Amino acid sequence: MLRKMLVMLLTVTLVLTSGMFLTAGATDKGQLDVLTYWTGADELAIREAIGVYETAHPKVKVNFESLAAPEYKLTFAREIMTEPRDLYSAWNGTFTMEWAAKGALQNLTTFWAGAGLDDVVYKDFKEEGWAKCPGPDGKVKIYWVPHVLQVRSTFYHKELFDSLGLGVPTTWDEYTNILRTLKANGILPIVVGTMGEAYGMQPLIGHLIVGHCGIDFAKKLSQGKESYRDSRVEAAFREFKDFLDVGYLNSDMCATRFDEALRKFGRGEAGMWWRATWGSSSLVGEFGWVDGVNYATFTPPPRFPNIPVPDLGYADGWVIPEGSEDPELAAVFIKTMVSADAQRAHSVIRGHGVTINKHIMPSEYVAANAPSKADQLRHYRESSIYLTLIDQFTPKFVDDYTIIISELVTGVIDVPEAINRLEAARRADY
Amino acid sequence: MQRTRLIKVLPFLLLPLLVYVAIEVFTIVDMFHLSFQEWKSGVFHYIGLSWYKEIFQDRYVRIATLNTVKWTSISVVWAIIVPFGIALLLNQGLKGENFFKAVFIIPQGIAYTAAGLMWATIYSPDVGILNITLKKLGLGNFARPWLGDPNVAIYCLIFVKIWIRTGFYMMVYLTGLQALPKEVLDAARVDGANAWHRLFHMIIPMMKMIFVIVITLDFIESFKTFDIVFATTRGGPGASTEVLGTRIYKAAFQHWELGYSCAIATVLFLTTMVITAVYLHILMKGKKY
Amino acid sequence: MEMKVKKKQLLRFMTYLGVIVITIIWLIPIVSAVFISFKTEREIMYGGVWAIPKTLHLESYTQVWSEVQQYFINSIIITVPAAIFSVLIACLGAYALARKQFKGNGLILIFFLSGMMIPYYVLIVPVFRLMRSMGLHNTYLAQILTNISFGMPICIFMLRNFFATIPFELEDAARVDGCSELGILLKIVIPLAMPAVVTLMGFQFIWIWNSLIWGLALTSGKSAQPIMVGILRLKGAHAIAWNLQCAGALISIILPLCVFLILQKSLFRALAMASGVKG
Repeated sequence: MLRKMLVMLLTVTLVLTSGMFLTAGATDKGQLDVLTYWTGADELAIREAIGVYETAHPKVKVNFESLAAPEYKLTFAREIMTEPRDLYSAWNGTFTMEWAAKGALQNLTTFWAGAGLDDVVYKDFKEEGWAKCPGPDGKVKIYWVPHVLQVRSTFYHKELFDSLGLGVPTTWDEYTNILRTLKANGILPIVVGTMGEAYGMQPLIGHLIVGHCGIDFAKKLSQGKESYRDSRVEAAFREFKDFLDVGYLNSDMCATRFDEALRKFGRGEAGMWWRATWGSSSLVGEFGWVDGVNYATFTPPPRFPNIPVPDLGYADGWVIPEGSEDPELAAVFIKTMVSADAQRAHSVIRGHGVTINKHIMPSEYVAANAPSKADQLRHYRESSIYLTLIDQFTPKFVDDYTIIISELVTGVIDVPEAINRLEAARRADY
Repeated sequence: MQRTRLIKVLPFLLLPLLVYVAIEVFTIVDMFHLSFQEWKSGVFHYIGLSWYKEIFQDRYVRIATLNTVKWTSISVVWAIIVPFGIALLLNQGLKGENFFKAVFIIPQGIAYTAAGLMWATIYSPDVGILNITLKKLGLGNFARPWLGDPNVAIYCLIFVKIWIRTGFYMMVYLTGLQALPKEVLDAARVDGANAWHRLFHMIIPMMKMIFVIVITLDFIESFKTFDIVFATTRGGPGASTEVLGTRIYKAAFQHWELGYSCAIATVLFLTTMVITAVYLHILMKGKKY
Repeated sequence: MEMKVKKKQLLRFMTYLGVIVITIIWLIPIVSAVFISFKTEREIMYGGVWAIPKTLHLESYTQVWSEVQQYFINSIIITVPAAIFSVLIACLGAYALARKQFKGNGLILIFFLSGMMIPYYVLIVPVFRLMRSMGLHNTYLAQILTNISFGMPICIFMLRNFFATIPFELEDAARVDGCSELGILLKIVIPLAMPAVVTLMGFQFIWIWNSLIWGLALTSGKSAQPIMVGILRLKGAHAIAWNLQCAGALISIILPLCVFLILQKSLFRALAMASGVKG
């Protein structure tokens, strides 16, 4: 008996000690550890781009891991301050700003200049809130490089619209008419999936806020510099509530995950899906839909004709952590990612988002295969993209905002109380 | 029992105490310490009682506390009624007793996290078995987005926990019932005492200790709620499924307000200690150790 | 008289019905999860959940297994040593507390027991900090040590109660023969309490395998994450696949469920003895 126990103890100790060595996890030269948030159909998209890199650099092994956005944020937060990988995907705006301010990211100004990115990437990306943000010392530097642009777009079921005689709206009245017609025909006008997050509800709310208040006010509002008690903001929320009450949005949106909503749209159970351009990769990949045939996109018209509503968007990009073991390798990887080949493989062919490489012309390949993508590109070249409002929130405010809006959506509170709480949270969180 | 001096038993106690104190106890002190500090730019700064002041103004901590209390009450009330009832029934020697026992006891071996995922499938508005069954039975009016409806989400999650734990309590009651002196009960029956009388005036009082144990276990278990909520709604639509566990976790690893998380944790810890002290006092009264 | 018999029969019938209904409700989650895991995406979307899968599609399992393999192995590496050592270490302490009368016995016991009442998540920040400062972030060892430490209260409680039931005469006889205290523990007490010891190890295995909080707080990469964290990552996947989710959940519960079913009889016997209920 005693002998048995000793043997057991010995084996267990061996397992333990070998387990400790297994976690030594040394990264050898020639290996690039990357973490991204591109999952599902999007993962296929980015793998195409990575393929371009791997062909050009056969000696480097790209150790690529992908997590869904909520898990990604948590993992990122834990890794970046302790044992970061070589390279991470990052959304511009709040996400990157938060970590740059904490000193977790490498300053990429020299890299940008050295890689000649001014000649490759649209200049808008060098604005503050995009590539540039304040570092730990408060000075504004480049901490992020763009990979693909996501524009707030409404995807609509073209076949359905055609059968009902509906077209792309140019005025708000036309837009509400579309909503009314769809509803009258027993079709859910807009499908939203927002379980556990606020991004699903945000496109409509953001559009209404900008539509009522103008882009400058809306920007300041999301940066915590204006009050939610402004009468125009209240008007915007009231209209949002009206949409909910009339039934233009699905009432179970808080039980529907964002990708479930997209799939509902792909199954033809809704007229429109309003989120961002990355949706095309799933529609194309999973449902075999063709841009311009089964679906297309449009930007909803401004609420009032005299208050312009610019395109709102955000971008996926790359950041190199301060503690990266191989920043030079990471930098070379980024340079490949913004090159025309990788961009074409990924955002043009795969239909994911909008390319950030200014050498890829709309007419080239895209217009023939993806007419709405061509529209997006053209639109972008003609007008600037403003950062989506929610991407300028602080992390804590995003959480509070999510709670308050989901209570508004599920009918727990009404507009006046929502506004009061948003204002209180804004004062507390900024 | 051998009478000896503490110093002589120390070698035996050293390792367990070391392991226990080094982590579980030391961290309690650290938690207390950190609750007075704020984490900014990777460094901790002292800020006195600010966090504690904020706790009392924090709407979501209040909601989380209420939810935890709600969770505990419903769970405990169920635990002293339903599993006991099932144990009573099974104790009468129904056919297939072992099968029924197995059905109820199996969920106990299932992790809360995994159960959360399985039940999320059931509660899904489109594809979930619950809504589909309701519609098939013609009760479509009752179909709703269960985990997306702030009025019912938390009850749905509480039921998951109940689903897991009922079997365990049932077995505890069963063991207790089977240990009751049969002669006394038979004598009572012969004397003309009907079933209800036997139940309420004899069985239940004799099982008092068991009920106390079940209530204690369930109380502790309910306060530890975290896994189920985290695996499904993460705090749910609005704040309707926020519990103290998720709030503390979010404050720490989502908002990165480590000090605030520790402050809430400290308050909860002290509350638990007070309850424990009161409880142990009542328990120890009359027991020799 | 007839009415009374009829009433009794009706009551009996209702009882059976009630139990059957509740039993069905209790079985549904597992059955439904098993069904879903064997279907394909399309079958779930268009065929509804009640349909029994005509063919057993194992793709979800193969797909999930390839993703979840690493987490499964991690769980084994963490849970087995933690379960074994927490019980062994607790044996030492329980022996002293159960069989020796000394000043402070009661106090030390209460000291251990009060640890059972603490909701673990209140300590995530300090434990996280402790492990990081020891350089053990994202390792197996951090999770093993934490689980051992937090397992002390319940192990000491159970073992103490069990050891106390072993007659002292055996001990006295051994001591007369010149056996050391440790020898008594190893050669007499533990062998006699072996069923309880093994059962407790099994119980610890189940408890540690099923726990989420330490895997969540102490790790950040796939390398050392246990399975419960792993299946949550499945859940968040961009393409929400119900069949993958169910397959993942089922894979994660297979081991602890088996251990539980094997041990549940002795578990309840041990529990009954430990809480002082005779039977």
